[in-house]
Amino acid sequence: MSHPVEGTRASLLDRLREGPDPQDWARFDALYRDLLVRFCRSRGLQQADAEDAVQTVFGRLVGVLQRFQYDPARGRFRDYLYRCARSVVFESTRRPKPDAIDVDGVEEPVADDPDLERSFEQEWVSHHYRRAIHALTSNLEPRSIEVFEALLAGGEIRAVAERFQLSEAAVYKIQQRVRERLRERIHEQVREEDRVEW
Amino acid sequence: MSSGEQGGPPGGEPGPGLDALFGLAPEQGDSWVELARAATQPAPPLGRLGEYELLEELGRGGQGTVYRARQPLTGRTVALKCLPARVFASQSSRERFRREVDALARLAHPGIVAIHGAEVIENHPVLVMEWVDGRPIDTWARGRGAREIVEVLCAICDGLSHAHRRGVLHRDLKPSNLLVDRAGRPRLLDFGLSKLRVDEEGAQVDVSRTAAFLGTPSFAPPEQVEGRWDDVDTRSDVYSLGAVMHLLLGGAPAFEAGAGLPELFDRIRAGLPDRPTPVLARAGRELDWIVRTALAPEPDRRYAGVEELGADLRRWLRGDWVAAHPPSWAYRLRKSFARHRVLYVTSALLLAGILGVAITVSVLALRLDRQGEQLEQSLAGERKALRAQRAGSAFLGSLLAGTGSLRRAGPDLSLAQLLDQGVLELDHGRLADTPAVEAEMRMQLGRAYRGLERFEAALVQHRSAVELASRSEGADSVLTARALDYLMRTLELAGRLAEAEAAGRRSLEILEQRLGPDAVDATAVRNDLASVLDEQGRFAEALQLYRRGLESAERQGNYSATALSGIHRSLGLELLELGRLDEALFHTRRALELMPPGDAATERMARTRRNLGRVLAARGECEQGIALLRESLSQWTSLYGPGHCLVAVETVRLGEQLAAQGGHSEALELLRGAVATLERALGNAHPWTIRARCATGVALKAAGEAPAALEALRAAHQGALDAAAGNEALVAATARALAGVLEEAGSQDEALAVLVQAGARLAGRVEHSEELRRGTLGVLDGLREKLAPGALR
Repeated sequence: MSHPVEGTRASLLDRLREGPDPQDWARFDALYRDLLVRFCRSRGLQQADAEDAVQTVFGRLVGVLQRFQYDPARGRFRDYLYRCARSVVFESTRRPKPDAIDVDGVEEPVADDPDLERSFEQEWVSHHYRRAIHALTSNLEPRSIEVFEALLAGGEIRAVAERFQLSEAAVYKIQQRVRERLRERIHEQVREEDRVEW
Repeated sequence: MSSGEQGGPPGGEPGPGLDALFGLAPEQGDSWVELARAATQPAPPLGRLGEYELLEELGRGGQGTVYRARQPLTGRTVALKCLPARVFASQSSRERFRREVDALARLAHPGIVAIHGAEVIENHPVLVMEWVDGRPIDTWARGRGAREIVEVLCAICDGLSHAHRRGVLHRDLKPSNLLVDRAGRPRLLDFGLSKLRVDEEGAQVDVSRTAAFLGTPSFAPPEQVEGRWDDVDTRSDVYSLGAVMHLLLGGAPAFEAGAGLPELFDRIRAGLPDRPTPVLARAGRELDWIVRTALAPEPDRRYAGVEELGADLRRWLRGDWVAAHPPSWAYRLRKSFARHRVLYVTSALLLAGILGVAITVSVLALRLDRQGEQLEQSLAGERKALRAQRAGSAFLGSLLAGTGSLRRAGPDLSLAQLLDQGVLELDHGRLADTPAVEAEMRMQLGRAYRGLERFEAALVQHRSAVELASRSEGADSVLTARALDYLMRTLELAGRLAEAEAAGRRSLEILEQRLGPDAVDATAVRNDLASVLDEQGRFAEALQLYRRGLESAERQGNYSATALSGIHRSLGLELLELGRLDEALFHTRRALELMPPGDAATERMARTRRNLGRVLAARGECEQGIALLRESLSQWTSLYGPGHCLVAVETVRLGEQLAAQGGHSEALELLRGAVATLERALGNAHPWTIRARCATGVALKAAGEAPAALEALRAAHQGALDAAAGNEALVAATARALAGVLEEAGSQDEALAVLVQAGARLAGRVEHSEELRRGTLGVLDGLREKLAPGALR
């Protein structure tokens, strides 16, 4: 079965797996570090510890990605990220130094925790929203973005309409347009993320 | 096959399940807004790092994480940069880190974020930096004009230059490292940190892991992308700044990171395409050239340093010629000589009048040499340009050194002799190998002759320059256009208005095509052309050209205050001629406001004052108007000396005004003096001489001296009839004045004959000018009817 690849360009994760270009890692880092740090922080790690934990996860990925064979049972990339993060969080709450974690510790069995999974899922959703919102600037009018930012900052439609001297219907229309753009973008991001063949 | 198509855990395939997870399903209403809002909330409270209270996470990237933090002991707010742990393999590497940081901490410049020091906290190297309340430059630049952005870029060049002079390279310039604070001042962040990184990690084995900390390659020069660290120097920072400029001015990165990385690297290595990208074309061609020069893949073809880049940006801001240019050596040559022009003329004048040969030559030679060296540095590889420039320089040097017979003339040597000698050498093929240089030299010689009122000699040089430029650079080249512009200006002064117009139109056509219709140079030529039309009495057409210039200025945003002031001044003048006095007053006042303080003693100021005087007088504010005309005249006199034709022309304007106000004796004295000067300087047939005679005749009539008036006006009218094509307005004006006096004297037949003759002369030219047709012929028709109804039918 073929998947919807844009042109002939391989996905980022494919490239990382098949022979990583240094800059691919930079892009990967930029994409996922924030998500993982936020997740670790939400589990009570201090900032510096969270940073180190994420560094550990990345360290594992460097080795693991290149060795891995395709295995559908492993599920999507975010599930794999989640499993990594979960084990690191679990271990770092037990051990004083995350550095000491065994690099292959990802295989270590860790108890399922629905709360932890939900928390990761929330961070993952937020992560994709942030990326998609960030990408809005390239395909929306600056004014529409300003209106949306005002809505995000908690502004009611009426207040925002007044501030920008627009009708409420116009503000609502902008909101719907942003919704559509975000939806398209999020779908695209998730497709891209899952394109890697584990 | 992708796992996304395997179903699996909740969330699943992009589609309804995914929408539900993101609150985007139709039945979930606006809950997506809540999720988006939550996503954009800042991260949870941060706790402490060593003694510091972490207040806010500012950013995170390849080099670690940056926090805004408070130091409880001092209470000051700082920025902490927490570098990744385990960077230090050994005690010695840790010490090296401290040494490097010390070097960075010694950089002290208002454009550079200060580093207070470094600490190692919980095994993390931490840099303690000044906290700046600013925005990344790309965010700041959104919606701002090119001018404002370029001003900030100049300040960035200054900061970078400070660091470069102290041996520190930035190596990782990108928008997130360039903050603009609330006052609009740029601050450079993270100086030299990438060097720390590279040095430290050079020892590491796992390249992919190391590279995980390298930033986006979109702003990195090829030598950095390829890891040729030995080749990284100040020009690497020039390149990165060029890439930032591309993003800020063009609205998109020079090289998109979205493509595959090997592709991206290939593109970075190949450089920008030769034709202006649509992105940069929007910023204007000269900025496009500047960005291109900074972004050249080969370091040798870039600016030699940020100082050069900054200097070029400042030239752009002033509306001067920039040094950057697509690879035409002649263009650079022209820029260089354009800079010499003032020096050359000033030196030559000093030489002739005051100081004698030796001093001038040494000063000039020194300046030229220095210029040559700079050019060599910044345009290494452009040997041809350098040779050409040297050829020009040597020519000037030997000319001014007074070779051969000139040496014997000693300190009494006149400028005219010097110019004649220059022409002689050129005619003997002195610069035959470099026709573009010869063209440049002849333009300057022509200009100098024009300054001496030797128009015929000037025209020979200008025509020769046009011919040489066409031959060496092409008939459609910018050099040819410049030569034509010079030719037009001299033809205008020589009173040959139709020829001047033709040359100007050709020059404008070339420049519009080559540089774009809104380019500063095109506007300059358009203004010169408008002045020629004004001389012909075609005020509405001139007005239109000036308005066009104003529109270009508004579109481009990079015209200097002086240039803008000039456009307003000219607009005001045409509006005055057209009798639209309120508008004329507005634009003339605007011209005065825009004039930079340094212009107080210039010809531009004299012109502006004179125009304001004329506008005020026309509005009935005669005293004030005449006072301004007097002030302006004394300024002209101090600029050119009392016997100069330009001073005489201004004297005529004052005389006309005085005569109209009843100040007959002073008016007549001034006008007679002016006529004498113009006859001597320009000859009897020159339109200005004729105009001065006409003004004298009108003043004589007003003073009740009819016979003398008649004599002066007869002479003026005959002169107008004999003048070159393009002077029809003058024919109309003298005919009207003469016919009026004849009619009063009872010579109605002769008056009629004058008008018939003038009408016949004008008939062939009226298609050029609505004013001539409506105004002049209208008046003539009226007079004709009055004198002898039906006589012409």
